[in-house]
Amino acid sequence: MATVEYKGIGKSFGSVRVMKDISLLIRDRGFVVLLGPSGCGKTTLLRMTAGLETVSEGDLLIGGRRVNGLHPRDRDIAMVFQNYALYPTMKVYDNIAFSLQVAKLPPEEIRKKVHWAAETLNLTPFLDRYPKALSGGQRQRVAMGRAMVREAQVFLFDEPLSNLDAKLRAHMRMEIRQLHNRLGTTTVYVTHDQIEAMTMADTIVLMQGGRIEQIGTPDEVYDRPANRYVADFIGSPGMNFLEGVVESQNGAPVCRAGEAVIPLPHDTAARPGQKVVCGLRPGEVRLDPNGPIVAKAIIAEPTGPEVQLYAEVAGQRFVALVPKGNTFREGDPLRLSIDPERVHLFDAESGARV
Amino acid sequence: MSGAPAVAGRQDEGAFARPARGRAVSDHPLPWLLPLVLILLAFTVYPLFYNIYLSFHEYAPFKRALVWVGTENWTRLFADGRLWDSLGVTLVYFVVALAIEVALGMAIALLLDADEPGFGFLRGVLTLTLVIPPAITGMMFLLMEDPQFGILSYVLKLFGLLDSTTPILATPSLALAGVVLADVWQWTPFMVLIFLAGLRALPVEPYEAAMIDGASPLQTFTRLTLPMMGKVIAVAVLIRGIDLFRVFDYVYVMTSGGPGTATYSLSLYAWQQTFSFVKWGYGATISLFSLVIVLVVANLFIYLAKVRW
Repeated sequence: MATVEYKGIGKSFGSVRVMKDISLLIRDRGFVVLLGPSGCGKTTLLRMTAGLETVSEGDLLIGGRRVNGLHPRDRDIAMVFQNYALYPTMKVYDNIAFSLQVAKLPPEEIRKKVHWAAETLNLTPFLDRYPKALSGGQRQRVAMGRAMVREAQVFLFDEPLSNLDAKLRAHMRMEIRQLHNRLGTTTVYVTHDQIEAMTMADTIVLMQGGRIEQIGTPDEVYDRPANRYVADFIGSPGMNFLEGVVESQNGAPVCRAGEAVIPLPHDTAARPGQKVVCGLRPGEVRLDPNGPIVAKAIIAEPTGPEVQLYAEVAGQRFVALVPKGNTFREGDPLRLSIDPERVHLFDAESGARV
Repeated sequence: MSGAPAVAGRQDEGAFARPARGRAVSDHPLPWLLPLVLILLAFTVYPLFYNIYLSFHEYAPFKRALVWVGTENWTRLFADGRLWDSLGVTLVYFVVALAIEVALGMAIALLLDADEPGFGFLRGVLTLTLVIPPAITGMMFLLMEDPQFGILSYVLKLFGLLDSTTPILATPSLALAGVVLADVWQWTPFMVLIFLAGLRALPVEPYEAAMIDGASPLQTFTRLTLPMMGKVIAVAVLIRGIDLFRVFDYVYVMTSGGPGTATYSLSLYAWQQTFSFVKWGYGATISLFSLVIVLVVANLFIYLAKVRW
């Protein structure tokens, strides 16, 4: 049982308070991704979990035990660093074996564990090499092997894939997730890449400016973003935002933004006259000759399976993903439509979901 | 590029573009190397060959000239007990001083490798011993180790570490230690500076990983810091070692090689033969002999320690 619990965690560097009141419970065997832009505090939170940064306020519990003042080695954690942090003067074998060697385990047991880790990670042919003779992906796997043999209850990952190329990254995403399932550990994973977060997490914690913006499953965060910030951060290409006013049209609620009329869910909580921001995901907008959203084409970018269409709606930039084969010229008038249930509505002032 | 015809593809040569017509600057490297080559020839190559020349001659005072003696100086060298004595003294001095300076230098560097208030000042203060001429350091320690009014002798006697009648530099078993002390005082900071530069350049992440892996401070030092510092330590040992091998100033000023020959170093012996006894040929032979030892040992070390320049 290794839950990780943050109770009112805060962090100050000198007199600068960079984080406050972070409360979060990570269940046993959970895969939690801390997601956010640079400087949002996600790495600081992870390093506090590891014991590499002190906790300024609040309580940090691992497996129900308060670990605030505990040395990293006594926290039952393993960590994979962004730059791998391999020991440059040790061969791969010793890199993986180091934690076992310093714990003075019997050599035979160490050998078994290292070979098990190396086999799992396809590192066996490289055990005699030094880190500098390995590729980025191999180094990454050595770092994971080092974490694996520790048999820790909690795995901490600090942007482990950010130095890999796109193809390898996709592959390692799957491997890390598989490993997590196989080892049955609790994982806290830090990234700024929303695709990593969406594909790997069972819970996403979206952070900004030292605060948590939303906690939820990838689907929840994608389908019901708590506020405009979350909606903007999740999804690629990003969500379109149109400022408008809620009206009633033939008894149905709509949002009017200039010439464009965006249908709203019939049970929306928005009141007529309320100033709102409508959020429309590019992939959920359709080309529709009778659609209520009036637009003007700007440029179309083929991406392979579909075309990314840049347009102008009510004087604001708008992106739609449309089927391939469509061609557009600049200035072409367009009409778009969207399922009212798929429109996200945010208060124009607070940015909170309506 | 005044006057130079504009030629496409030549533009990138910029300031190095060749001036037009007749004012051509040679592409040959020799004129650029010449000053350095001349200096090396005058101050390194010529003295070396002159020394070799001298080692096959000897100064004959009555003829007031150098006379050819063949290999006499070299055969004498291998039978000269005083030479081997002085080589022994030099080696003991070399090993003891080097060991202390490396160990002490590393210990102090580890202590100073932190961003505590005042540490920058301490690191700066360290350089002070290095600006003192070694002969002056020798004079200072000569005074401090004086049996009557030397502060060091006084303190050692206070703690009962020294007999009240023992003069450090006049006791055969202690004199070399007394000289090593001056060397250690002056040159340990040099080691600290090199080690500190190395320590400060080490990456932080492996240390964080080692913390999580549960390594103790001692394990972290022996398994991480020492191997990562290997090259730095090797270079420091090499530079300091070569310097230690030709120790002259301290023994000359403090003991003149005494008592007896207890502190008679190889350099001092070569100096004595050359300048006191006017045995120019034999003095040159001794210096060449010590040069050969340094070359062999240093290159063996470079090879074994895999020092890359």
